[in-house]
Amino acid sequence: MFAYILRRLLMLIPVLFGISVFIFLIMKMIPGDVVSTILGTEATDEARSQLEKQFGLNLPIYQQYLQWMGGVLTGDFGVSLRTGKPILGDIISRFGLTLELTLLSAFISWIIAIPLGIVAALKRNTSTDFGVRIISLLGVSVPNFALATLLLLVLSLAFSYYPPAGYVSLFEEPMKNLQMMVLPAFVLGTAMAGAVMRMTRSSILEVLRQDFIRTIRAKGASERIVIFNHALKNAMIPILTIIGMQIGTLLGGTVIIEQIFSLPGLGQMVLTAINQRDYPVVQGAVLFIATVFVLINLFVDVLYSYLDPRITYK
Amino acid sequence: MAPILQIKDLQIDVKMDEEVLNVVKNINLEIGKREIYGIVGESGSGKSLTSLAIMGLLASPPLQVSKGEIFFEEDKDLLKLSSRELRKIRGNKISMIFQEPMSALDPLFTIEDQLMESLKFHTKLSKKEMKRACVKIIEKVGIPRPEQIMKEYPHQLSGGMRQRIMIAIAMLCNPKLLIADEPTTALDVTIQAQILDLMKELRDDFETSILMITHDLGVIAETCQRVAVMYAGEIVEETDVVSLFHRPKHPYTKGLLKSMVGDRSDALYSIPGKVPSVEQMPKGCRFVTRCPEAMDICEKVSPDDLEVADNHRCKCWLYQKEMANHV
Amino acid sequence: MKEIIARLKKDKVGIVGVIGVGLVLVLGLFGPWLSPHDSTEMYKEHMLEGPSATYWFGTDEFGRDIFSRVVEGARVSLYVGLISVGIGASLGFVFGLIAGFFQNWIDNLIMRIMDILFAFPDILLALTIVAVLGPNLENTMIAIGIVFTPVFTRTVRAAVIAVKEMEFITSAKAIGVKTHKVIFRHVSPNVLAPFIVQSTLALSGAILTEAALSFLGLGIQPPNPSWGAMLNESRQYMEIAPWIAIFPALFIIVTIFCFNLLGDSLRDLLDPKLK
Repeated sequence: MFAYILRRLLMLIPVLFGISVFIFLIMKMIPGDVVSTILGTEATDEARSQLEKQFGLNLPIYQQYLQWMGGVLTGDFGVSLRTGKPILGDIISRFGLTLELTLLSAFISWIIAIPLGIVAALKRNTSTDFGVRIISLLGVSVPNFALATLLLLVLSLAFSYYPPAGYVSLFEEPMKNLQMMVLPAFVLGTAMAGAVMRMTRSSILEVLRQDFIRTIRAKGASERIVIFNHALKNAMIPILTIIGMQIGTLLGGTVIIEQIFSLPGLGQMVLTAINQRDYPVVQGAVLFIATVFVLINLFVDVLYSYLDPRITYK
Repeated sequence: MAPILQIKDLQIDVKMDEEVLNVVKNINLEIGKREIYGIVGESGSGKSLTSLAIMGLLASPPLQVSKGEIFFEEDKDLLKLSSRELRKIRGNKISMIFQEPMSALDPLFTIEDQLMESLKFHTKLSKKEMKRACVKIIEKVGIPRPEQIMKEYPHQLSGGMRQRIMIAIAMLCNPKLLIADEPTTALDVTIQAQILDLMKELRDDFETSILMITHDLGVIAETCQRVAVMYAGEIVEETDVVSLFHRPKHPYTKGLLKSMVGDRSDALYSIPGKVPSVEQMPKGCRFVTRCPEAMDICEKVSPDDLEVADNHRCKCWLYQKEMANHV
Repeated sequence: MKEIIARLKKDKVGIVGVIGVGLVLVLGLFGPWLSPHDSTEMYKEHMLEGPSATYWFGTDEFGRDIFSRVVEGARVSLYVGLISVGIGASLGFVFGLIAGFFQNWIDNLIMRIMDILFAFPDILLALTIVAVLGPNLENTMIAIGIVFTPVFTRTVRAAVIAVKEMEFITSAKAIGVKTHKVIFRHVSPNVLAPFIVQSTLALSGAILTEAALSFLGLGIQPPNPSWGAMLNESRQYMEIAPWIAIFPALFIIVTIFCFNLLGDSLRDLLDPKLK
């Protein structure tokens, strides 16, 4: 098992390398240079070349990459052009919020999607099934920012409810933090639930067609045991794949939701940095998110082989 | 001696869109204690549906038992039991094994889990006692090193081994009746013989009756005392195994016997045509489309199920006419 | 194809999807003739007015007619959707064909690049590309096109490989027919079904991504109307003038929903094993 995880981690190296090169090159393609962004166009040549040296911009491009990567690998993501603070510290402190939001949304999506998916499978081709299909398509179709906007509108007009302002972390004031998070998490969760519902339905149906389900019934198992102990466990494998992919989408989706709900997470950090042309921050944060995404997919794969004894660790 | 299982006039229908079509009809049979009773027929003859109906495992909808009674241990009509009562019998007093040992076990659970599950449903043994019972039954079905096997997953075992495990699960609660639906079809010939021997042995040790469902007359000859031949959802002939092989009555049975491997004729015989589909079921005798001895009346009216000799029933106009002439 | 249309007729969900998509298409194509006002004209005396006979969906904070802007927004959405899916689909088609056809180091290279693109959440990738290229209509379409390239590449590659392994290709090889010709002749019909389904679904995805980018201020730039941007601008005033949020939101939701309905029933029709 450990050897398997280690091997998979090693296989990630080329992918992560590719990702970092991609991000680096794309950042280099930005029209206009960082130096004039900071100093303005009327700076002296002396000041310019000094700053260029400071950022290593006078070096050939591959050396610039190596310098950046060298820093990244030792935990130095560089400093923000705006604040001058180290980027990594900022990323980590904001990542907590984004992770909390992601996990909470995922959780909300499962408690909606998996029961509905099971019900749809068990009542296949009935009006219940049809209803679930429409709900799931709606879930996929309603953009989270539209849902968030409408939800805020309805809450404020009909109930005079406004989500609490001024972010506090989970560790400072857990109750207030959850109050702030529940609405954005709900918005993200419902968007995710649609696809999970479909997947749950189709994989439960697939499993129920298998021979071993008949064996279990022949043993005298109740339908409850058939569905929850056996069908669901077998169906979980394809469902997990979708969930893994969606966590990535969520990490991206939080960009908008954090913006709408004024949550100081990683997404908001990227967006602010883009708007302020603070490219080292964009570069660092995007690399971080992509890495987390890749690691989550690896985690799902490992979970997969843990759940399914037929998958050998090769 | 009172039969362990008695099926009376069983009928199974399938509901398609608005239409209700008949798939199994007029099933009458009795299985005695310690008897191995065979049902033989081609695929689509309704033999598996009949066995699933006994277990209460018909996929309903679209399938449903529309008529008949299934008495188990004389007084209990299985068709009238609630699903809870039925569950108590299933896997306990009546158990079943299936054709495909490769896919009949849940791939995500160990052999131990799958054995223990049965005991959890039907007994109140402690965990230790359950484990002991599992080890014992695994040894009983002829698998060495039971402790090790119990920790393995289905995909780690061969087909023959898995079928032994299936039998072990079925025998765990010491059932009165074991339904075996094509238990050896998916296995190699040598393993087939071993499994059949094992089943006979278990019948003797556990005093279990067996309902053997197969398309293979060889399996019938090797194991059964009595046989019912099914065609297109009906029993066309029923008798003891010796009479069936030596004095077959129904043209379908004769055809089946002729098509058996080991017949002296040079080319292997096969009955022309195929089983009619549910939608195109003939009005009279269901075998009429393929029968070499078909008469006019066969197309129009279905023959009765008649006692044509001692302990020998047959459903064919050849004999019904003969008997009518005698009267 | 006839059979597919016949079956689609029976599928009520599909019909709703077709009608919805059709209506959006009509709005997009004939928008300028349908809308009573110019979408950027500011009627200063009529700021933030509710729906009325003159302004069917009301007016926004600059006194612009929301109905006209929503109609014009449909045009933008469809335009961006079609062009960006066109970019993604053509790139994906070429890459997928090459990758599936050669199945050697080129395949490996292409697919690893796609893996890298896949390693970014959609919105984040689009956002980064737009940030680099500069936010405007063209760059939005390029960015979304790039985001959708990997999906198409994978679909096409899988179809090509499936075709290559079909029996008649093997037999064609055996009798000495140039296999490349055979494969090309058979690839297109076999790729078509998954390709159509993928395109319909990608279209809704592209419209959604455009709306999201514009919502964040990094897509279509003002004063041009885009549903996403309208929705974003509405947030300041929506409590006193809910209509400025409700109508664009409704149009985004209904449009994407109808495309998904259509894509969903197409998938069921063309690939029954998923049902």
